[in-house]
Parts: sequence; C-alpha cells; structure tokens
Amino acid sequence: MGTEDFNKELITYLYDEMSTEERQQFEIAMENNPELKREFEELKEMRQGLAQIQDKEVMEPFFLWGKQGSDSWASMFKRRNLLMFKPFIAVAASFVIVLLIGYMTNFSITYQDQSLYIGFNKDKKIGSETNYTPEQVAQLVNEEIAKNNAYIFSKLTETENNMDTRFAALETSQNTQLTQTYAATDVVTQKELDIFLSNVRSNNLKVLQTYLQSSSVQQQEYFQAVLTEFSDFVENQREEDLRLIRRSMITLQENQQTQKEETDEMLASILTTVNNENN
Amino acid sequence: MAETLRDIALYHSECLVEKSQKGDNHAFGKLVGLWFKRIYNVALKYFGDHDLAMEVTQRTFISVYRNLDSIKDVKSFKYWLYKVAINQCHEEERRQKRKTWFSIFQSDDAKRMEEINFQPEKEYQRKETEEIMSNILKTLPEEQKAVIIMKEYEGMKFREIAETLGISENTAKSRLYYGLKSLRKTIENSGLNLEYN
Repeated sequence: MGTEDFNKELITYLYDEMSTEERQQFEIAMENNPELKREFEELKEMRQGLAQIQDKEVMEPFFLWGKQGSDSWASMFKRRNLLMFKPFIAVAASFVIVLLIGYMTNFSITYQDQSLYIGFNKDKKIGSETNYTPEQVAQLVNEEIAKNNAYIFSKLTETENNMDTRFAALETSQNTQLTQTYAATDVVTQKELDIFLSNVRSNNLKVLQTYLQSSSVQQQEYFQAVLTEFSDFVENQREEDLRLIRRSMITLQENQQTQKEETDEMLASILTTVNNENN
Repeated sequence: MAETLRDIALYHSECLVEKSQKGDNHAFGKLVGLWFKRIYNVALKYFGDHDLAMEVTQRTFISVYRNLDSIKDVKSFKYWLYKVAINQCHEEERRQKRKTWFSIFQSDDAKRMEEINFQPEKEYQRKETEEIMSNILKTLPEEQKAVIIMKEYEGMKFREIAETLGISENTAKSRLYYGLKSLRKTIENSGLNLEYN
C-alpha cells in the first residue's frame, strides 16, 4: 500500500467510514506502525480544534421573508439585483453628468499645431489670432513698458505732492499743539510749585513736630533711665564705701588690739627687767 | 425505517422544492428558512466574516430561486444547494482577492492573519481558540476548505461530498487529509499551543 493509499485509509478511519473488517485491519496496522499512529493522533487533534468552531445563530434578512400568494420573491430579487448593479449605475450616472456639464459649458479639447488647447468656449478658435513677428512683439512690449512707466511716474508725482501737502499740514498742526501744550504746562507748573512748596512746608512742620515730640519723650525716658542708673550707682557706691569703712574699722581695731598686746608685752618685759635688777 | 430529524427535514425540503418549482413563493420562503442557517454557517466557516457569509447566503438563495427549474431530481436538492453555496463562496473569495489587489491597504482579515502568523503569543492571549481556528481555516485553499466544511460541519459522507463537488471520493479524502495537515502545519508554524475543551 502506497503513502497516498495510507493517507486515504487514515482519513476514512478518522471519520469512521470503514466497515468493521476494514477497521480491525487498519487498527492492527496502526499498532505495528507508530508513525501511522502518531499521524492519526495529530489529525484527531486537528478535528478537535475544528470542533471548536460552533454554528452561529442567524436571522434571515427581511427581504428574504416570502409571502404566500404574492409575487414578493421575484420583485425582491429584482430589487436586490438592482442594488448589485448600484455601483455601475452610479459610475454611469456620474459619467453622464460630467458629459452634460461639458456640453453646457462648451468644454472643448483641441489639438492644433502640435499644441493641446483646453477651454470652455469652442467658438473662439485659439491660435487664430494675428501672428506677430518678434520685432512687433518687442515694440508692443516696449510701448506697454513706456505706458506703464509713465503711469507709474505720474502716480508717484501725484503721491509725492499729496504727501508734501499732508506733511506741511501735519507739521503746522503739531507746532500749534506743542505751543499750546507748553503754555499750558508753564501755568500749571507755577501753581503746582506753590502747592508743592506749601505741602513741603506743612510736611516739614509735621515731621519736625513729630520729631520734637518723639525726641522729648525719648529724652525724658533717657533722663529717667540715667537717674535710675545713677541712683543705683550711688547706692552701690555707698554700700561699697560702708563695707570699706567697716573693714578699715575692723583692721584698725585689730591693729589696736595687737598694739595693746605688744604694749602689754613690753610693759611686762620692762617690769620683769626692773624686778630682776632690783633683786 | 427509523426517520431522523435530518431525514424529515430532507423530505420536507424535497416537498418544498417541488412546490416552489410550481410557483409557490411561500414554499420557497419556507425552504429558505429551513436551509438559511446551514448555508450561512457554511459561508461563515469559509470566510469567518458575518457580512461576507450573509452576502454569499443571499446570493446562493437568489441563484437557487432562479435555477429551481433546472433541478430534475428533487432528492439531489441538498447536494445541489451545497454545490451552489460552495461555488458562490469560491466566486466571492475571488471577488475579495480582486478587491484586495486593487486596495492600497490590506483588509482587516489579512492583518489579523499576519498577527496570527507573526505574533502568536499576543494573538493567543487575545483571541479565543474558536476565532483562531476560524482564521486559520480561512487561509486554506478553497478546494480543501470546501471539503473540510462539508465533512466536519455538515456531516456529509465522502460519497455525498464527491457528488456535490463533482469529484471522486478518493480526491475528497485526499483534499481532506492535506487540508488537515495544512491546518496543523499553520498552527505549528505560528507557535500556537491550543487547548481544546
């Protein structure tokens, strides 16, 4: 059995379309041929994969619903056929519209003297005008340039005159305005100066008064502070002096005591000496 | 013979197709109602995008309505319907590719796939396994994707898939095998470690 035959047998077995006898023989052959068995398993797996695709529910479109005793099917199919030709009808209609527009606007395409002319007026023959020589063309161009230059020159002169007039009027107007402005400015300045000076004076007075008041208060505070400090200083000094006097008194007392003792010792010594001499 | 819900629905579909072929618009409406969800989910798994899935589903039923008379055997309606849906998916994918080619900027889906390819850890943290699998499924070639969707989600036998797509059973099996291998390779290359419930 060739490979192709094996493949067909495999498919027949896979879809269970073998007779019982054929089936048994194929199963024996498959048991003895691992390659065949592996292929069978692969195809079986593919069938499982395909089985994943389920049927979908669908509604018949409305136009396919037939009605008894009516000629609806024929008319509906005709309508659908028309729909199928709709794109072609649309293209044809567009073409007809383009042709109509072309006809109504006298659109024409002409090929003449190795030139293609496209235009909207077929009565006017393009290229039928008088042919000029290069010299005539140059003369026409020069004439047109001269006319153009003259026109531009006249326009420029006119514009210049207009500009001069406008500048003169503007200058006069500005001078007048400036003079008025200066005059108004002087008057205002004198008045403003007086007001400014009086303001400065009053402000200075206020500042001076405030300064004096503030200074007086500060001086009083300072004087009180000085007095307090001086009082404290005097008190401290007095206490210090008293301590010094007391210490001096103590020292003096101690010196007197020492002196007295020395005197007593001297007297005792003298007495002793005298006694000894007497003895 | 025990009838499953699926068989009942199928029989019901066949009756509705016959009535629709006779001009009963109401029966066609019921037919759409019966199959709308299934076709929408096929397209949703194909694109992973609600708007594109709705577009493809609507185109599919418009095509069915126009070509009802071409169904000779009503028993084959189911396969025919899936065939129309898959073809519409292929066409829409080509339309989207053309749009992407003309567009200067990449679509959100393309950006999302780039994120999956180049930032697997970040993407894994942010998205659910279902969304990742859906995005990876979208990247498969259209033939493989169609077979995987019909087999895995629509539960069709290989014989039915072969009949729907007009291919042999062996081709259907081969496309499925390489589709699954490609999915696995994409997941491995992205470094994703998916865990399935």
